Amino acid sequence: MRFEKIARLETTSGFCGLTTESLDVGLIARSFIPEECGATVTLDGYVRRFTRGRETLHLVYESYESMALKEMGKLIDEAAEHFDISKIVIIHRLGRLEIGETSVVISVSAPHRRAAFEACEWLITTLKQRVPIFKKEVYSDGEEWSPGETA
Amino acid sequence: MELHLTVLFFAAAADASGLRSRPVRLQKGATVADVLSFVRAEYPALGSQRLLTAVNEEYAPGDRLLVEWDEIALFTPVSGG
Repeated sequence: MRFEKIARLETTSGFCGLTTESLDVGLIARSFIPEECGATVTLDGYVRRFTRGRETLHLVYESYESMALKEMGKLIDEAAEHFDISKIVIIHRLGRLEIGETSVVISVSAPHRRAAFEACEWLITTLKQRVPIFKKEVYSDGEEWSPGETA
Repeated sequence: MELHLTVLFFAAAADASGLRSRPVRLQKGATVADVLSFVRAEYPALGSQRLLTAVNEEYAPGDRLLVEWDEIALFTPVSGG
């Protein structure tokens, strides 16, 4: 993973990014190790082979990149307001992804773990509702844009 | 007077229209809903699928009044993660 290949947006509470490069979860999780913190909770979202009985061959993600970055930046700022956490990183992969490859990494660093778990859960739930990123499922018997998880 | 607008299409909306973007001219006073009516008439393949709308990279409702050079994005419900 080359950090220069990531379209990034910085906010006071962290940063977000979009890239077609494969994601190095460990490296992203260690982007911030603030001294006031004692835990980073990291979500590694990856490509599932079976969804409701259908077999996925691969996925293709596309996005409205400029707006997606802005929306992810807003999520970071909102989470920093509502939870007792210090830093957040969100990186989403775009393009073609194979089974098991990481599609999204969300890392939340906090003084204490509970707030980090809660913020991470809120971030992925809200990202799926708000950020203009689109997933095309390529199945063994056809392909379709995922209907998503609307609010 | 006519407004010069740009309409962007993503994902299923891009597949249905066969386009990623196009210029659109509408009368002054036009809203996001007017853009939707225009593109649904122009591209019947869009059918009745639910479309989300953004103006200049921010979500915007149907009654949002448009101004010269606004960029309106149309997409089906998002599915990142």
